[in-house]
Amino acid sequence: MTRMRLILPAVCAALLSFAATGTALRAHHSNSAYDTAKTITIKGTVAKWQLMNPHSGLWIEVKTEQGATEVWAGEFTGTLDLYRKFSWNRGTFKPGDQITLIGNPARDGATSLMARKVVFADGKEVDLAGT
Amino acid sequence: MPARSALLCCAALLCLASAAAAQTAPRPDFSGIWQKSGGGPGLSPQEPPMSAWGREKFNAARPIHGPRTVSPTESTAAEMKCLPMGVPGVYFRPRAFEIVQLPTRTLMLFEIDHLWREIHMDGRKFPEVPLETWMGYSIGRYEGDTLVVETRHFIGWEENAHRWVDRLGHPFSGELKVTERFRRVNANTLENQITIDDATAYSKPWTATMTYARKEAGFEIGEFVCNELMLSELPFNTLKK
Repeated sequence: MTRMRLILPAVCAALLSFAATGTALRAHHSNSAYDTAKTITIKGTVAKWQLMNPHSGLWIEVKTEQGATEVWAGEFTGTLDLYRKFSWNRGTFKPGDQITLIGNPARDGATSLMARKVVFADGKEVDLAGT
Repeated sequence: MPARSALLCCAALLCLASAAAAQTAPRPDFSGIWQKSGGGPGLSPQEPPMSAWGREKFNAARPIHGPRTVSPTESTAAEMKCLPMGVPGVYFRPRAFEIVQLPTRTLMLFEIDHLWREIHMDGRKFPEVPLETWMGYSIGRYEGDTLVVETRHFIGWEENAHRWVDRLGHPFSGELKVTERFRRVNANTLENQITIDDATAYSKPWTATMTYARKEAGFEIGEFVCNELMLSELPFNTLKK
C-alpha cells in the first residue's frame, strides 16, 4: 500500500499521452520486460547513473512512508541517442539530485521501469519519445 | 619516318587515354551514412521456404521481436549476447552505417559495435581455405548502377550462438551464401535486394528487399559498444545470466 501511494498511478492525461506514443517509442528495443500499457511516476534521489550501451540506467532512492528506502532502476536508451537528442553525458545526473521519472513498470513487479519522461529538480522536463 | 613516329606516338597516347578512362569510369555512388528504413523485424513479408533443419531451429528460436517475443533474459537472440548478427542481420540493428567506396575495396562502417565490413573489389576469388567469421567474407563488383556483393564463410549455427538472418529467428548455417544487389532509388534511398542461399536451412534460395534511408546532413557515425552491457547493473542484463 505504501508503495502504491508513493508510486503514483498514472493519471488519465498521462496515460493518453503515453498511449499515443508508447508503441512507437524505442521500437528497436524489445519492451517485453515492461508493461507499456501502464505508466507510473517515481520521485526520489539519484543514487547512480550508468550512461552506457545498449541501455543506460538511473538508480533512484525512494523513501517510503515508514522511512525505509526503495531503490528503483530506470532504463534508458544508449549513449548516442541520449547525447544526440539531449546532450546528456556522464555528468547529467549526480548522486543526490532530486528527480522524477515517469515510465512503464516491469512486468515482473521488480522496482524498475522503462523511462519515458524525466523531470529535473528545476522543473525542466525531457520527453524521451523517439529515443 | 617522322610520319611513322607520329602515328606510333598517337597510338600510344590513345592506349594510355583508354586505360585511364577505364580506371576512372564513373561508378555508382553509394557513399554516405544510411540506416534501415521501414520494414519490420523480418527479412521477408512471406514465410521463407525452410528445410526441416531450418524449421527445427526456427521453432527453437526465442526472439525479442515479432509475434513470438519473449523477455530479454529468455531470448536466444545473438544480439542479446552482443554478438555480431552477420549479414543481413546486422542491418536490423537500429543503428546507422557508412559506406566508403575505395578503388579496390568498399567499406561498411557500422555504428553498432564499431563493426566494419570489408568488401573486396579487386576481382579476387573466395579463399580456398576460408576462415569462418561473424560477418563472412565479401567480394563485390559493379554491374551498371548496381553494386553486387557476395558473402560466404560465415560462422554458422551453434547451440550457444544461434544465427539468424533477421530478428524473427529465421536461421542460417555455415553454408549460407548471401548475394546483395545495392541500387540507389534516389538521392536519399538505397535499395538492397538480398538473396539467401543456404541449402541446410532453406529448401531453395529466396530473395527479399531492404531499404535504407540516408541520414540527415551532419550526422556522424558514433561509438556504440553493445558489450558495455557487461558493466550494466540493470535488472535485464542478459550478459549476466
